[in-house]
Amino acid sequence: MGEFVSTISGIWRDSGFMGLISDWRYLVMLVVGCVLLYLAIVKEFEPLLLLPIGFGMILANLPGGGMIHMELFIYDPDNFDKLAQLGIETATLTEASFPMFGEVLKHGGLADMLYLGVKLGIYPPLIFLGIGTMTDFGPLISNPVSLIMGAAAQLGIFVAFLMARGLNFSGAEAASIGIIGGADGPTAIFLTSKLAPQLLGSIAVAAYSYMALVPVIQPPIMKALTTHKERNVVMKQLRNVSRTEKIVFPVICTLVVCLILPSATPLIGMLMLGNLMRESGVVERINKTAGNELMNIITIFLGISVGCTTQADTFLTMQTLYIIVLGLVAFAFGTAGGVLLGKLLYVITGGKINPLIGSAGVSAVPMAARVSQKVGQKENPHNFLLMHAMGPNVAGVIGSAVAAGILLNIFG
Amino acid sequence: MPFFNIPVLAAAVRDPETIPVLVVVMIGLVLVFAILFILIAVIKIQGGLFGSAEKKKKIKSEAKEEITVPIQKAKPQNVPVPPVVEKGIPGEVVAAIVASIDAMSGGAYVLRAVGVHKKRRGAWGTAGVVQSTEPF
Repeated sequence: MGEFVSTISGIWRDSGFMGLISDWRYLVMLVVGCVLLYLAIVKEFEPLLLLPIGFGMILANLPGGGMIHMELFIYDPDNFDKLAQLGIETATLTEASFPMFGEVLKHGGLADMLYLGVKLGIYPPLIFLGIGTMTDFGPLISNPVSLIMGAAAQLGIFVAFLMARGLNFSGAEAASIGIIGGADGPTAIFLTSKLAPQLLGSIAVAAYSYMALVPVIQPPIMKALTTHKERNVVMKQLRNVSRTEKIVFPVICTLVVCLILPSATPLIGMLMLGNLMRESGVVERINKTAGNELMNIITIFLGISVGCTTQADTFLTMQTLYIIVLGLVAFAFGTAGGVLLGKLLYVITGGKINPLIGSAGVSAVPMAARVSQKVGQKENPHNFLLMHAMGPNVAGVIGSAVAAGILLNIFG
Repeated sequence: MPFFNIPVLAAAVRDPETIPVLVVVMIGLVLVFAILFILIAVIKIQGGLFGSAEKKKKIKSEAKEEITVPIQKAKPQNVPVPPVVEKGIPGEVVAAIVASIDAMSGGAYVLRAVGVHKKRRGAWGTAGVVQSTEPF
């Protein structure tokens, strides 16, 4: 009987419930994970990413679950005891020893293996491949001025960077926080995994949450910065773009951007490869695979592995709060930057460009373009800005990847 | 930071944390604009070289199976009449259709109504046809 009781009490002692009791932060993270699931399922906020991220967060914060071993990826002397428990000699470890890929293969679990795709920068370029197969650069090619609006919308990245440095984040961390303003999930994850992997969970959650909130964040800023007359501008129809132009564009764009900024090659190169597969029309099978099955598989792996990095000790900090606030600032300034440049173009072109499409330079495709359409249609029900707004929208994808390449070049 | 002091610049390059924040912001914004300006120039040159596309191009639409009611040439109207939309079709789909027609016709045509074509194969039937004909 005594053995029975001691065995049961041993099982209870090792259970996750004791872990929850001993550290309340796990409980908070489980609640946060459930909130993300609610937002994804009920409110349909970016469900493709927030659902696996939310569930990954729950899995990573079940005490004793051992889903992921971040101590194998990030240098932190406070975690050397965890490494010792895995049988790893810690006396000779330095920052250069991390990430410990060999030890990941020896001691890692499912989430560790999936996280390798994030750490090695594999998943985001593959997602960009899929995005490229779904992107039509026609509106951009027919109205190249859209690229300037895409550039202006990256203002949010650098304003957030500035403010993050003011809050004593390191340059690499501030760059990772700033890239939230690019409104591009894969770009944010790509840059953060290389510059500040310890902030990956917070930044990913902030980035995808704000991308889903674009229809809420942008309209007040757009209305505040434009007049009724400017919002009412009906733009001239876009010229037709030939198939030849659409095929040549991804090749030329890759050559130009990647020769100037080699660090942007993984993202820009894969984006343009996907687009070339789409526009060539001769590789329909792999085009469909890249845009559907491959995207879905990578999205699952990315969401789970990013969610699993959101452990209580790294997520429940003041840094996360700052990241959430700075993410909002980045989005707001990105929207403002695009709209203000739109206003400048309105003046320069004598009223031919509707400034509202500038807000679509925030590269949440196609949500930001839809917001421009809706705000414009409220002023004039017969004003169709959607196709015009797609130009800055896809230009913003290129712009945010370029900005990420610049920051990676400086801080990588 | 003295821009022509090579040892200081070299030290800054080795340690990016010492680069002044405003310098990073300026470099970033200037480079983003510069690269995208170069792309604009490339696109304009490309557009001039390859010429404009054919005037009537088949539009790839997500709503390929929806058949719009035949559109009639617009008569001069003082008050534009919104199209009659069948229940269940989202406003964004209608906006996309109207924008496509407007882009292709230059405003010559007005959409009068949008409805779902009832007589069509079911989803399984369509998938079967696509699978059988895809290799060809």
